[in-house]
Amino acid sequence: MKQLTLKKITIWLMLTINLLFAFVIGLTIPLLESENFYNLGFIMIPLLIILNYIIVDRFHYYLKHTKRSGEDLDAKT
Amino acid sequence: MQKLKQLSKIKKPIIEFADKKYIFSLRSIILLAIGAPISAYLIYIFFDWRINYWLHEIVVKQTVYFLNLFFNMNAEAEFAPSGIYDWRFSIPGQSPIYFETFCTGIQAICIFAGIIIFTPHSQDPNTKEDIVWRKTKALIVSSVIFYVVNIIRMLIQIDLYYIGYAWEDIHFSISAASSFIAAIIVLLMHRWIPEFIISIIYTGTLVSEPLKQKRRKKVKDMVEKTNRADLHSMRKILRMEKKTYLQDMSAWSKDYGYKIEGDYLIIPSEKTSRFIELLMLDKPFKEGK
Repeated sequence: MKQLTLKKITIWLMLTINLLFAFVIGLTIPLLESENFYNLGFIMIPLLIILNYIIVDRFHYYLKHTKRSGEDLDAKT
Repeated sequence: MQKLKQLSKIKKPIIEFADKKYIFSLRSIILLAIGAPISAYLIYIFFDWRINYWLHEIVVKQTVYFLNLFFNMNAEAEFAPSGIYDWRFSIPGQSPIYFETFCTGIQAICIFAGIIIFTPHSQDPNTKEDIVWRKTKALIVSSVIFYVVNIIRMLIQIDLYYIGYAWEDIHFSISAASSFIAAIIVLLMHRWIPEFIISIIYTGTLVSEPLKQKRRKKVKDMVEKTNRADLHSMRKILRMEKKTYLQDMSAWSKDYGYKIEGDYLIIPSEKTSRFIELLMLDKPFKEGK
């Protein structure tokens, strides 16, 4: 259980960093002087959405493995 | 095309590394060879497009910020959309330096992105279980390292230019030196996605396997007809060192009850069927006597 909590915190941290990235991108766009400055958002936000999915998928992986190791322990006892 | 069909028919080798099994499909290896360079080129072309010059602006402005922070240079990022590219560095007392897509370091990121995306996945379910996560980590870390190293490279070059060095003298030499960082990235990549290096080794194994099979078949036919096999082929089948193979072969043949006469290994007729059986094993003569 303790292990899962640690993993949960890791995932929470990664999602937070991802949100901060989105915030920084939003903050940067109006400061740019290039002609197509809004393209920064059009390119980076989809990448962040994909990253978000990968982080959630990682949490699913952690859950699956913690559950499996718990089942192994039950089988041994 | 026929050779490819032959390759796909042979039994797939399995490479074991760090307690994991690596088996690749021929299609995924071909995809890596073709897809990685094409996708790297396409990503580069995309970022070289005028609509993506925001990347130039970000890199130029960040470099200027650090130039003024570390060297108190009073450098400026200038928007000068007269030529092909829009941005340039304005250095006090020196002529301006124009900024192009190559200066962003995106080409190195593109090459590694192409390789990472098209690196084949192992067909072993346990090995490929977390491949997307490992690939993402490799992609993010390599891109960040390239980006940071590229900014540091520009800081060094522009500071040297500011204090009086000729731009031609420092530009190419320092750029070439900084590209050695790619070696570090390959090592890091091997930590997270060993599939890339292993797939190269795997390709070598796939190519050499039909040759090995052909050699074994040749020895088998010879033994069936004449009860003897040539030592040169046997040395290759048994993977013996060229320098010491005569002594090694002599000891090995005594173990199995064979004889050596000139350049040939003589197999007694009652032992030929067992010889052929051991010869045709996946690892010849390794799995039992």
